[in-house]
Amino acid sequence: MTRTKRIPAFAKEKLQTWGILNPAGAIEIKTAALAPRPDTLEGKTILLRWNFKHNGNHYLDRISELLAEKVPSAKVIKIYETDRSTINQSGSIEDSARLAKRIATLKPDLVIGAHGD
Amino acid sequence: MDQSEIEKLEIPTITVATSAFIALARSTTKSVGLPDMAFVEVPHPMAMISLQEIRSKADQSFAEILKMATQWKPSAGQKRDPERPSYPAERIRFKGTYAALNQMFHEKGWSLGLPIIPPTPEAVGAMLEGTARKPDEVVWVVPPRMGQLTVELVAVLGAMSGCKPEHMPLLLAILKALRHPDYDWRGSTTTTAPTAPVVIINGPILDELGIAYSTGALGGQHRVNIALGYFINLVGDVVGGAIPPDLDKSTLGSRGDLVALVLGENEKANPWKQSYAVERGFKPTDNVVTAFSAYPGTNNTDHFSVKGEDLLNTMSIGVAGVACGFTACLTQYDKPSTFGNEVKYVFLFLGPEHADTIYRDFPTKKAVQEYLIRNAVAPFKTYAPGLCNPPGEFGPYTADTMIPRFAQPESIHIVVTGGPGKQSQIWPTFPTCQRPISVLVEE
Repeated sequence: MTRTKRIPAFAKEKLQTWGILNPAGAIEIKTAALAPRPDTLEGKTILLRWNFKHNGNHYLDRISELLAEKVPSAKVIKIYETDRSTINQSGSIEDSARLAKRIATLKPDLVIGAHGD
Repeated sequence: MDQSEIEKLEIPTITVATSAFIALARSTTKSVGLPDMAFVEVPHPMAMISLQEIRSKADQSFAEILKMATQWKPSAGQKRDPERPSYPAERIRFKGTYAALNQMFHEKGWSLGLPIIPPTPEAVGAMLEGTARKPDEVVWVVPPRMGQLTVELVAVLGAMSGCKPEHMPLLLAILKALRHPDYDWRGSTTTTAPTAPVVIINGPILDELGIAYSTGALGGQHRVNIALGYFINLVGDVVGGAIPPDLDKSTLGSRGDLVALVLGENEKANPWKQSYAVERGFKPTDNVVTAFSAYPGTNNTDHFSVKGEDLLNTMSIGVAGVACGFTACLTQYDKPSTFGNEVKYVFLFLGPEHADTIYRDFPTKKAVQEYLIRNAVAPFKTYAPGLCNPPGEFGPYTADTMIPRFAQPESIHIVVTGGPGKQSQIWPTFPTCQRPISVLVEE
């Protein structure tokens, strides 16, 4: 196949100065504070949360076993076994906020979430 | 996003994500106000591997989890995007050819690869004549980038996609639907699934603006539908920042993620008379947009069925089979889309000839819906493991027991559209798009 080295129409096109508007939109994100972290896991409540992606529960099950072995004084809550409504991929910040409030009622000192794929 | 909201309640978190998704996870938390969070990265994948393999990944990451639990600190000096006002949009001067201008737009992430019409101040000013809304009004903060979409930017992106000033009220109505929490724009634009926005338009505006609803309405040549569709995805990528590979994670993607699907209902050819919008509580004289997020659809090409029942039988296999692998059985439309209730509704885009065939034997849409939920069935073994959990009252079942996809007639949404021919389409919906969002076009 032969290729045209130059495209005459483009070659003849004159440069021009364009005035245009930036279409991207400014970003405004209010920064939130991070929660303080515990100094130790001894005696603390650790909540494990699964968002339903395949194997996330099995991963957390094993983490639960390891916590029981290494930090036996910690209380581990596998919320995906006690409240199946939390096994979910939230579709909005509002959904996430509702889930967070539900989790907060259990007063965990740490939440470990497994997100799969 | 769930973990971010937990942190905001002063509960520390650790988020475990795979190497392929860590960038998306970090970007998501940043976009909701937490520039850094405690992540534990495990080698991709976690899903679709054996129990032994996933337990091994937990073993390998446990030491890191223990360390992050008590010792993690946010990295100092998080770089933030420079702040600038949302209005007016930055004015830029560029010297070059039209082709060079398009190249510049693409390199900056301001287009999707298709050519755009330059958003000159004159073009944008003309677009703004199409609405009484103030140009500095922020109509949507678009995830995942959280770009502020002002009315002025709606005019900019509308001009770029080929829309006209008279389309402004329609564009604003479409955005109102897409930004509704039940649509789940963030999930729809960042998922690995090949989702696409779908917008159905009803009302006198169809003929007034020349919106296609007959032959080839979802194809080429229909410049209003195409411009509206291109506009939607410009909003998503340019303002929303849902760009592959880090934020738009779609494994393969779809062309609907380039030019969204915008179509009118063929109201004149609807044998049931009541349009989809009227069914949803609007007046026939209302102009209405309805949006949902869709997985790729499938087609029904039935040239043979004379009876409505025969045609619905051939459609049943499509209704039961679309979005295979992620669908639950006996889904309930009035319940949230959670584990075991995925893909809880579908749309039928019935060609007018198919609609007529069905109408002869099913004089109401309700009868069509009820027939389909009884007959759109699939063997238990064809549902992915764990996703089909029939309740006790269903009775005993085996791998080959046929189990309905849906439990409620409301799961079947019927729109008559397109031109002559023996074709219809079946479009399944993205699971976290909880329901179709219908919005009145105002002004």
